[in-house]
Amino acid sequence: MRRSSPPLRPSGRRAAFSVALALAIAIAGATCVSAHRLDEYLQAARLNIDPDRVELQLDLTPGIALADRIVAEIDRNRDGAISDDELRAYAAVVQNGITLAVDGHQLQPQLVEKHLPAVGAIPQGTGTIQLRWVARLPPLSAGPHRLFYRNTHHRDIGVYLANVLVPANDRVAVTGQDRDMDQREFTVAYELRDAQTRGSRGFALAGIGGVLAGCVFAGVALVGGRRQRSASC
Amino acid sequence: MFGLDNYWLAFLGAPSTTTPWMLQFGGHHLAINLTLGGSQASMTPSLPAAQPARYTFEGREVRPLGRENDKAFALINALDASHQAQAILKYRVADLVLGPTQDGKTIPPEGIPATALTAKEQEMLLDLAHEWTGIVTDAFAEPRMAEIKANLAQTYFAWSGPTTNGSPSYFRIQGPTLVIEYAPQQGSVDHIHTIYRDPTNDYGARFASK
Repeated sequence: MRRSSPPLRPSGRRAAFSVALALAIAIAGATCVSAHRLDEYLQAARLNIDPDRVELQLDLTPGIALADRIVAEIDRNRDGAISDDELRAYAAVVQNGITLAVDGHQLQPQLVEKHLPAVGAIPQGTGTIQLRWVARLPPLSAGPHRLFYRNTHHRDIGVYLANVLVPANDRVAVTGQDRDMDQREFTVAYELRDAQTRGSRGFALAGIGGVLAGCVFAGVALVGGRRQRSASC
Repeated sequence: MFGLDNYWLAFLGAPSTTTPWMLQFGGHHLAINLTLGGSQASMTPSLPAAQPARYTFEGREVRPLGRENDKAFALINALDASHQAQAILKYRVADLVLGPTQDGKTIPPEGIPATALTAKEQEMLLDLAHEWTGIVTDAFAEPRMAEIKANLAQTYFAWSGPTTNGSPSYFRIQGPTLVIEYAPQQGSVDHIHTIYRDPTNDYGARFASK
């Protein structure tokens, strides 16, 4: 005899909703990933500063009219598929156009993550290639510092965004931002506090961001290899 | 990418008057994430956008983001020269900064603080924000607006681009519980993306995860 499932208690419902929410966030992440740009190559950088390292995330979205050109640059053996090595090699090309320095000292970013969009998204101008680097900082004293970022990758077709995130570590406080007109160059002024004298800003946002990131992680894990529904905007 | 076949409606969780659930509606130029939990609701993050941004339907001119556009230009032009100088960023903004896939991220606010605005300009700013918060019914929009108003002292308004209405200009309203961005694409006033977020309550995080 088939037993019916017991009704979900509120906590069970909430747990079920959390799973659904994680999926929703994962799907939403795939939704409207980017504009269907035409003849521009959007390169959106986000910098995250910690006391001892800087993270650079770069989202690259070629427009429809540029898709073949960019794919050809990545797919070096022209087999119609982009391999891990080809994407890594492309990341190195991108990195050649990037300068990252703190207080005038050039940093050496290491590629730590690379992600290709779903097949077919790039030709539609909605696919975003995501690259993430981490650069260790030299020992810095407490006080003011300046982080410099420059991106010259594909200057002929590139449009750029450069932003810094509110630091998660309360020893770091952003005190100023300066960009050139096209956001190819970006300088972040920030204050580094001693470990002993750091304040207690208690940013709830960081915690919530962590929860959301956790949901996304859980959602991605749940979705697994299943094809995500994607839409464009 | 256009047409009814490219829009989806999804229910996440069981619809309930007491426990959290979510309605997701979206497709080309639209992503609405509505999380409901008893008397609480969150419509963030959502992405109302438009292309074309002006067209004629049954003899009527339709501008899906027309009020948002016009109220923003009215606000930037209401500011005096020194306040405009504070509000206007010295760089171009080609797209949304905290758009899709940027959940949980916060950037330092830029532009002019609302505290520097006159009472009338503050009202204009709130009225502009209401174009997004008011997508839901008044019962949910009113507490949301009250919260935004309560945080006005920490809210900023930033602008990039010309101040003549009809120009492809970007703007951002950012406070502790609010991010609104309006970003014309590729210099076109006929292709607009916007994003509406609550960094503390996207996907109903405040009440759905308890």
